[in-house]
Amino acid sequence: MAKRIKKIQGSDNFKKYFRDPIYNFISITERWILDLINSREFQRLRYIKQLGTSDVTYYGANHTRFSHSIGTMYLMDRALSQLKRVININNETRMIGLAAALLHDVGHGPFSHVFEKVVSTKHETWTNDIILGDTEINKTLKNIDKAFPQKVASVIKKEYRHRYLSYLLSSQLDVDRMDYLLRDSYYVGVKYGLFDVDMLIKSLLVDADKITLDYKGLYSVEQYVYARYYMYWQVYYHKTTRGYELLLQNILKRAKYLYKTDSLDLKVDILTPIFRKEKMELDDYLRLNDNVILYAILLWKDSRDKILSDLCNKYLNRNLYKAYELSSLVSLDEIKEKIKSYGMCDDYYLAIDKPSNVTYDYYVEGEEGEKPPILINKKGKINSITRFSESIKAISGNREIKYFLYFPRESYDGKNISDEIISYLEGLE
Amino acid sequence: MKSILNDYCSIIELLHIAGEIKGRKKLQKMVYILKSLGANFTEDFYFHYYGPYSDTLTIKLEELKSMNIIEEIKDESGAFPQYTYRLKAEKDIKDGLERYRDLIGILNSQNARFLELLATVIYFQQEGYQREEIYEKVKIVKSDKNYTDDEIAFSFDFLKEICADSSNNGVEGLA
Repeated sequence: MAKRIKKIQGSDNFKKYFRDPIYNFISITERWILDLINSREFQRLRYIKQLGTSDVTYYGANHTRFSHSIGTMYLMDRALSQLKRVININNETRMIGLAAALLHDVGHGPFSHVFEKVVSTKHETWTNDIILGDTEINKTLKNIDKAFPQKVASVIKKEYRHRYLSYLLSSQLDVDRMDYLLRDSYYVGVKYGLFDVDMLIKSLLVDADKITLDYKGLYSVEQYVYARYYMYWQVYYHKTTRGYELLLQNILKRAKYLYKTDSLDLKVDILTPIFRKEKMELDDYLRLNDNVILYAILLWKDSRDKILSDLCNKYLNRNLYKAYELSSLVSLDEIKEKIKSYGMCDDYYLAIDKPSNVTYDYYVEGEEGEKPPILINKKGKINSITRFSESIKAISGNREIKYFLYFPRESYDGKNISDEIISYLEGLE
Repeated sequence: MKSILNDYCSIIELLHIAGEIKGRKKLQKMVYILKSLGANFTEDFYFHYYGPYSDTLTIKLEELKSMNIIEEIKDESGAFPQYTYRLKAEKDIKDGLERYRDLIGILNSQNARFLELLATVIYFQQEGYQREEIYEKVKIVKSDKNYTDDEIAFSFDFLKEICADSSNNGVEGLA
């Protein structure tokens, strides 16, 4: 096995450099990693934006799952090098960790979470299918060892025997989040997501298969926890971005309805499998990316269906729903009637957004056995971070809940609707 | 107002039937087990360090708290806080959980450690693993819990019982 791994890893001279905007040079010194990156399934990630529709709010947010995945692998490599100082990590375990980090997002579909609501299969399921199915990625992993794909998949599913690998990849303090906070912050153009990643990685330790952090890294982890908090409110739960996602979701919902009732006039063959009831074939899924959806929207803007055409035109021209922050939840019955009185269907023109709809979250410490907290190791004694940091305690005790109501600004014939709805809502307050 | 609560109906009805549920972990595992037996919960679960877990469920509880519909009582007497949940006022909401009433009572009387094991066994069954493989899996992913063979065997028997009881009440088997 060791000889085989040596052969797969390639000659000592093999070196490939990527120029990364966050870490500068990322060097790939093993051929099998380059083979994974060059696979058809991984290259698809070049066409799936990391932040979906966020570029409508922050026009720089055009980076993709491709660069995030490579960045996550880079941080995993650095984290494992750090942990090697305290525990024995053999070459096979290291390779499994790197492959899991590189491939953890390979199953994401176009516009990620919006799309998941339409096809109702989670990206984690697709990731598993890609790693274990008849794919180029599977062949590359099998070439290392027959059992290798299963081991990589089990790290991502948190079932692998060396649990610290799963902790490093997906927990309250993981390399996935470290990379996306830094990367999203850079491309979005805000400084909220920055923290001292070098110090954080240098402070990583392992205790009974759990990741802990040396006390000397306390300030860097405080920065990290605050970065999560700020990015949540300023980027991930931004009302404009969320409204644009809603618009996209409604476009796909309408197209699906029209397809099912045999009234979708402008068909996009490549998208047809997403409207069917049964789970899509993996090959069909791998043909999809953000550009396919954008092409469909360009086509559907001229649909004979008034709703589909209107939503697509709104999407293309950034004519967004009006977002209104509610101080408390209200009955929507009156507003539904107002929208209907303008000949519009409330299914597509009225919605409440709430934190439970958002995939992202910030650090909240729960109870024991709920989600493992961030653990600090102070001279061998391990305890939750809130025992050491008053500032983290301050933001991790209670979750702040904000609700946004979305409704159209104008009717189909251009008459202002939003003022009327806002004055109704203000009256309630 | 009811339409706004559509997303929360099953959680509200669960608390109505259970009276109160002590501990977030217990609540999480109860919802997962009930959902696996076909109850109408919409929350997505994934496998986490303490067994199947739903972020959406956690946040929905916070939302129900912010709407003043449920009460969360925090007990800080132990090393870690523990949260108890109950309805603030009775809500006349039915979401098909009535036929699970007996099962809800049985699950609520178990401790969180056992429910974590039971939920984990169900998760691996749904993943397609055989009984012997599940024993191995549990020992890998729950190595820190030191579940014995007897405990795992008991969880299989318990599951068989609740599936049989449930089907007598018109509830499907494992979804």
